[in-house]
Amino acid sequence: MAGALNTSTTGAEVPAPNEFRLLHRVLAGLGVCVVVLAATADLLTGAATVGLGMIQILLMLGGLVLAAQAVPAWAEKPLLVHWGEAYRSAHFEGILRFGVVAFQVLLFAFAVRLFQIENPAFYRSVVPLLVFGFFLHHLLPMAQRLPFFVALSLASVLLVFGLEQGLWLIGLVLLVIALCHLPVPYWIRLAAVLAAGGGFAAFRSGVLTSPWSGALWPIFGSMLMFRVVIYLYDLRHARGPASPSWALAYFFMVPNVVFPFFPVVDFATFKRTHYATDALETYQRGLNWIFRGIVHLLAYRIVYQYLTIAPEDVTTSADLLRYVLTTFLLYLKVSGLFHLIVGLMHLFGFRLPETHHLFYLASSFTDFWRRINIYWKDFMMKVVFYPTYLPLRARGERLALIVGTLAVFFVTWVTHSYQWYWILGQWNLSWPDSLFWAILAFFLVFDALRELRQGRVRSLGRPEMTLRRGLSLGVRTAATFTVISFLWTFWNTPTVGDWLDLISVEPPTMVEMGMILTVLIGIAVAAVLAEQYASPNDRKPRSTEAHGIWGPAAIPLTGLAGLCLVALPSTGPMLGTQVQRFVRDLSVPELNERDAGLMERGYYEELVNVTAQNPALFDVFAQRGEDGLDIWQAGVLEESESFIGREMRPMVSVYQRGNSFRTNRWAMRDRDYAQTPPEGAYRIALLGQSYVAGDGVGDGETFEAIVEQRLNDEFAGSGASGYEILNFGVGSYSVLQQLLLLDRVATFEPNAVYFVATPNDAQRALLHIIQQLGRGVAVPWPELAAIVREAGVTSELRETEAMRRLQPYRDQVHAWALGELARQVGAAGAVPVWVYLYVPQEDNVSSEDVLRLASVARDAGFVVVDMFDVYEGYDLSQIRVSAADRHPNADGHQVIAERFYQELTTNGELGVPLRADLNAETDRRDR
Amino acid sequence: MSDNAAQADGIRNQIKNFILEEFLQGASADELKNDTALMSSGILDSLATVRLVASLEERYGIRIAPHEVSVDYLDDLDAITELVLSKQG
Repeated sequence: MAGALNTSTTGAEVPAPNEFRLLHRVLAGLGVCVVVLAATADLLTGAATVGLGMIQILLMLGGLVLAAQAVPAWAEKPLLVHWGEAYRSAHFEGILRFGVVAFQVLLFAFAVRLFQIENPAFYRSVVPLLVFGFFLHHLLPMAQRLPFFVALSLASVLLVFGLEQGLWLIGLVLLVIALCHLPVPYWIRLAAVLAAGGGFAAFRSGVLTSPWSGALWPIFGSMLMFRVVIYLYDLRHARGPASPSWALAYFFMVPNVVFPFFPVVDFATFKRTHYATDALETYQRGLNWIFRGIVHLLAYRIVYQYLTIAPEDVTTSADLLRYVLTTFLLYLKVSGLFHLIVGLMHLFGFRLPETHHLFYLASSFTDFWRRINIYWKDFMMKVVFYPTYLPLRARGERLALIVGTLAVFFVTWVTHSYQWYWILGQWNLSWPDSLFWAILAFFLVFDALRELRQGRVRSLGRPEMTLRRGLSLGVRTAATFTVISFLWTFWNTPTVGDWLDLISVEPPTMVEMGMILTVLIGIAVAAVLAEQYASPNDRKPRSTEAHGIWGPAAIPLTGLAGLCLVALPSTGPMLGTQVQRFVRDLSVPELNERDAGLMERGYYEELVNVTAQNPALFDVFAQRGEDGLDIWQAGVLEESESFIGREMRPMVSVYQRGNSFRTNRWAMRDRDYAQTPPEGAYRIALLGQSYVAGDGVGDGETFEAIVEQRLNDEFAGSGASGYEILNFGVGSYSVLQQLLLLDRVATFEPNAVYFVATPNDAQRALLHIIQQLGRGVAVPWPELAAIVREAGVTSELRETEAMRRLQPYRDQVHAWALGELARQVGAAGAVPVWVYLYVPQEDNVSSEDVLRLASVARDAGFVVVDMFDVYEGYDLSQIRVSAADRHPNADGHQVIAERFYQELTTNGELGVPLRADLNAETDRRDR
Repeated sequence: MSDNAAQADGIRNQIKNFILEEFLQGASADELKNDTALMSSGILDSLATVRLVASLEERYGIRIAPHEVSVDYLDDLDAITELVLSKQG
């Protein structure tokens, strides 16, 4: 067995096929049965626990090994014979090298689990499958490795999607592969694939209803949308697969099932690089890239969570610098993901080229194009540039170059949108997007013509670094970085006007000039250092003799071990509370405060291109299933011409994000009530946002419904004849909309009106003012209208600029709104109550902030109920819908209900009649 | 040395000289080996590649199809020589 650990493993050792033996057929059948059993276990158990998941994975792997017996070469050399031979030829160094690799693979599995890298399907299901699969794969004879990789890839589909949906996905992809190989002329096959693509597009757009789950689309699209183009191109030029295994391995390659955004792997490269060099060197290079990918992904999380700034908060040159830098740095997510994916492919012998190479340090536009998303560049060169350039060359090199480059960028622009259509179900066409590609194309053409004229410095080794060369490189790199980072910011802005607003900040002060220069000098120095010391792009494999066993493994080995140590519950605390807290924050991937807030108010639902450059939102949207619409899209809300903007529709019943969502005849997300309270009943009107309306839970699971039921069970007939809590909550309603709602609330004659506040109330009020002004609706309150005038906000201003001007008045607007709410409720004879409800996300608001808000509410005349610590002692991840959707789930509502019930029954200030004191309450109202 | 081998050596040397003169000025002939990666290492970027193709077509009177402009055919001196020889029949 140990011989398999040696380095004599190349793709050349393919034994001749042999005839099947009955035993092998039986074993193969048994293996398939085990795989199916393991996949169906998901249906039976829901794979709810880690233990079950692991058993499932081990069963699958066992099944795969058995199923691999069907490959004829097994009959030539049974596994035990192969292992016996390998054992006899084993040597210490080979075993040691494999041991080092194996240890890193295990560390990788721990690290991605501890840091929750990407999605749970990856680190909980696919990574264990890959890790165990890696060991088995390496121990197999070379002829068996590709079929095993195919089996592993197919098993990963079943593992992630379950048997039924997994088989749908496999079947659909197989259908497309089969069309590519129809025994008809090439052009007919091409037409058949295009027709199939049209049919799938009809399903994707909803014109036709598919019998498979909508959750399959992102992966289906990812597996086929570009790969089928490359595959057909290679088939056309007689470079098709050597066997069905190659086709299946290419389309189903194992990490794809959990990554919709996947590098465009070239088929010829995929085949050419398979065990093209020493196996252990390939594995080690993959582990280096895996570690680099994890570092990029963690760096991305730091940038995303701690450093990004909202466009409306950009008021100074320092803010603009921060905005531009962080927007460009968010691309680390893509480079990290691609490094991780390609690194994983290395573990199965695919020594694929690098996907990104120090792209932040590009020294020209052509250099940038060559360094960022290299696979895409190669894809475009292969299918667009060379086929355009070569026929045109006779008409002149310059013309061919210009047309070829423009063709590449035109196709890139169109296919980016095409990609978004398959993954997210929406086209991504916007002016900034179109202009971005057009400007980049212009720069590239200009730069390519310059290179054509002047040439480019190329060298076989590391070029000598002189002062002049260093200065030139540094200046060019800083200039390229500046232009591209601004261009990147432009690409990320919803409209051209928004971008112009963004950059129209005050000129930089001396201090800010110093900051900008520091950044540029830092980039220049980094470029020079990288040129001198960094590994050149895609170097040739290094021999073990020259670099030893530990040298290539040093960085990933220590890095992965370090990551595990700081994140492990047993060792993490030794590093101190602050480090532990930082690591914990890094380990929980979630939307940052701004994106989460905007998601809650449905802001992104109405933007077409929002996910194009926001990797965090891309994940959220790509992982949504077919019922992933928000209540606005689902038709629960309707637009209103008044300042209230939108209102809930009465008698609506929809199925939204896995839950039934119904409204009563009064347009409340609640059971039905009479407009006039029943005799002797105590009635509370509850106003708030989606947390009150119950986004994320089913009808009857909201905390108000639970508390209402409990009050009636325990106190009806004693304190009051009954208790009613009327749910007036509407998703993303600001305090201003709640103010307008009060007239309708008053017609239900409540004894008390409770306003459930959240940290973003003040900000949301400002947004609502701007949005209504934007659609030509004036502010209906003179006091507030005066504030808006004073801020210089008009209907002509774009949202970013209007928000920037209103920000200084935020607390004033909020205090005015609270005062008006309390005054109107009091005038109606009800008790105004302000309830602070903490959203299930850590560290987004401090207790000082809550005390300040509570003080404002108290001054306004509210009875204050502070539920800031409502989730204390609970694991937040267990009581919210998901990391990307912070609404409380059913368990979360239970937690809130328990606390709300305690407040109602113990807080004397609220005056809820629990015994025979209803008469006193009635007297108070009468007075 | 057979005629074929001599012809291959001649072509290889011509291509090597072209690459050294056009793209690797200052590099010594010894550094550029027959199996030195050219496309996959980035020495031949897209512009250099199309200029090399133009030179091959002109010098040897052959046509190189777009799909042949790839690592499979142009990644090192040996592969390029083989492509030229195969085109010359």
